[in-house]
Amino acid sequence: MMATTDIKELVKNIDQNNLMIVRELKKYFPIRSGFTDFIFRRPSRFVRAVDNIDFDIPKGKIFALVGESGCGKTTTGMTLIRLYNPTGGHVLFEPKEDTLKDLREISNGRIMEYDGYIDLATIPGKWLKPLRRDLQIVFQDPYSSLNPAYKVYDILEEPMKVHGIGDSKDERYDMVLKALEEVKLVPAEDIANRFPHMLSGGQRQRVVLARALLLNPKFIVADEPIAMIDVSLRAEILITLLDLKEKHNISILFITHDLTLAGNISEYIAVMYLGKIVEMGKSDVVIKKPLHPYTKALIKAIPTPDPSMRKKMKDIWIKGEVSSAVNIPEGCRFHPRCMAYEEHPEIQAKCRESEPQLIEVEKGHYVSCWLYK
Amino acid sequence: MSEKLLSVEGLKVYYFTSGGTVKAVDKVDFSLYRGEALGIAGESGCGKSTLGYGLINLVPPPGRIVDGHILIDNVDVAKLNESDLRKKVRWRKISMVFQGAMNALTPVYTIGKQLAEPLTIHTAISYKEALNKVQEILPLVGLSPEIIRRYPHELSGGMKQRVMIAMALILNPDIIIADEPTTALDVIVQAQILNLLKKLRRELGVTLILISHDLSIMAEVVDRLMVMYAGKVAELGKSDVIFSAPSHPYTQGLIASIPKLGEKKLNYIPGLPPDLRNPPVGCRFADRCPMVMDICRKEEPPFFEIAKEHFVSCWLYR
Ligand SMILES: Nc1ncnc2c1ncn2[C@@H]1O[C@H](COP(=O)(O)OP(=O)(O)OP(=O)(O)O)[C@@H](O)[C@H]1O
Ligand SMILES: Nc1ncnc2c1ncn2[C@@H]1O[C@H](COP(=O)(O)OP(=O)(O)OP(=O)(O)O)[C@@H](O)[C@H]1O
Ligand code: SF4
Ligand SMILES: [Mg+2]
Ligand SMILES: [Mg+2]
Repeated sequence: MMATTDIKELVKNIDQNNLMIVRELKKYFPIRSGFTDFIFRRPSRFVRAVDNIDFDIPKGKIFALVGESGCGKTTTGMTLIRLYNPTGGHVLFEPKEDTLKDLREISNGRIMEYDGYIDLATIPGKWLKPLRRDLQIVFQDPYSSLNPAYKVYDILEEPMKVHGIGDSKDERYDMVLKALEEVKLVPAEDIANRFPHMLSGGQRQRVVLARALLLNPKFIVADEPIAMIDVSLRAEILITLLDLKEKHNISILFITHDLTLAGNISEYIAVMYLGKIVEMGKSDVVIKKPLHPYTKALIKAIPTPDPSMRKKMKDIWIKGEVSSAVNIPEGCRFHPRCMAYEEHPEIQAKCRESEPQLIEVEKGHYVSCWLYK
Repeated sequence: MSEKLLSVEGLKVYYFTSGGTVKAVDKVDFSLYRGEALGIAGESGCGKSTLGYGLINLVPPPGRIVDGHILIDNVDVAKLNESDLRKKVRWRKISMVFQGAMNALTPVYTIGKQLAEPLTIHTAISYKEALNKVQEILPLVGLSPEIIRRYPHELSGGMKQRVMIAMALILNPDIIIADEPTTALDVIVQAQILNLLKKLRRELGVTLILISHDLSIMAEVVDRLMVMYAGKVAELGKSDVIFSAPSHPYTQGLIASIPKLGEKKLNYIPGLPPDLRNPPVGCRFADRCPMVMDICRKEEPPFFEIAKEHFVSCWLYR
């Protein structure tokens, strides 16, 4: 995948199968410098949470972003939909037609359009409002993402009011009931009149999903949507999510640290390490034929539901602790933890000195590691 | 089997809330043998942690042990007074790594202080003694003793969990209860912690009670498995047997719902567990059970020993 800085180049041949085309996306958070930094004139420092990543999210598909805590998954999701302003890069996105109309209106026709796509990363913040309907996020914690003081009905009606959806209270009420039925919260009238504490964790998470769906989005970031939920309820919510995706042709960025789960539900997987994508491809391929040493380590660490393993120690194919996103190692950022590095002296100099690019080693299977160069 | 270290008979632990009595642990029986690892599994809210608190007789209010016996060395832990518990039992015979405790460390105190202080509360040792013991034990869990001077934010999640495990080991107990020790951790750190638990069993001969809702990690560690449902034991037996041929319909559902790497199939047990303030008469799983019979809704199933040391509480095995 060639990185393209120039938007003109990038939009020359947009692949219309993709809902989102992400290039060179960066999100750096400044670290507040202390007084000593000031005295010694140290340059300001950054957390490079998302450090130049490229990927495409096909229409109507689930794209999973996998990696350890702190690798930049949530930041990627938030930056894609402009809950954070990117430090750099492009995010081409094809809004709904109505949304595009509203965008033209709100921008007095100044919005840049490229065959129906816009660059989410660079449009001015004051034009974002119409896009908010198209781009939704579902957070991991169903306990804190619902206001306990409101009934389910009010929680669901609120965003519709904000976006001027539904002409009357009655119409909105019908829409709420329909959305509740869609996420299989029945009897909908009963559920609509409950407070969040009167629902189970799984039911709450489905309310959160219903709230996102009411705005009829094109794209949902699902950030660990089931991490807090029990195994048996998990599958139930995932199946709901899959059904909704099929029915409404929504694309989903599914964020998880659980590779098994990513494989269970997504069509594509990108594995992230310290702000970078290190491997990416069709989920079956990434899981059955992982190439990057980090992906291999993740897969080896997955517990196997087989009690004959219990006498043995698990083989942990990685060293040390995760490095800090403030001091990203030179060369391949994974090399201090990499076991392949240990086993292959012939590439060590390269691993230490220069950063491997994400290259396509087989059709549709990308990896950034000097072993494959 | 080897020597019995612990035996639990008819244990009931209830929470007395204004909204009613939550029967979180309701007549639980089992034994624990020296050197083994016993798993306690089941859905959220089924009473796993409450059972753990019961075993060390440290049930948070408004909960308390209402009935039953917990025998360790012929002493009934359920009947001991607080001072004897502190002097003789907690942390010396049996200790617990509490669920979520690693995230409850306060940012303003050093690790050393936060490790040593609870010990002075729950046991009868002095602060200084506790701090010395903490330093001695840290290398066992793969941490350097100097860590006592550090603050929680300076440690990774895996290091914090090691610290919590160290705390449980301090007075060299026979039994350690580890309550969801890897739940909030990344898969690699999780594997490291599970390896640590295996190492401690091998090197210190620790007898382990592992509590988790995650059956795949159970399979990696435990010799025997106890599956709880709504405050009761549904099935108890060797983990080889339970994983290859689960007998209780609930266990069958749970095992079928374990997500598998590289598969697109998603299974689950429809429905919700009952309200523990008002559990149904008969079998508590009846409402969700695909095999439900008339008797299930009328009478509570007893424990049937369907093979040696394999117990199932289900009318299918009468
Ligand atoms: N608002 C912020 N300000 C400063 N640094 C941040 C901010 N948000 C995230 N970071 C840092 O950016 C990096 C990536 O964080 P992010 O939350 O995206 O990770 P994640 O992969 O979602 O992790 P987790 O699995 O724990 O949710 C981390 O080093 C984090 O500390
Ligand atoms: N302090 C309390 N007051 C009242 N009820 C409580 C209290 N603590 C727990 N309960 C209830 O007791 C039951 C058992 O809770 P417990 O924490 O033991 O479950 P668990 O199996 O450990 O669940 P999880 O997997 O979520 O940790 C639940 O119904 C819970 O709501
Ligand atoms: S480039 Fe080198 S250090 Fe990086 S993952 Fe590959 S082998 Fe390991
Ligand atoms: Mg996150
Ligand atoms: Mg618990």
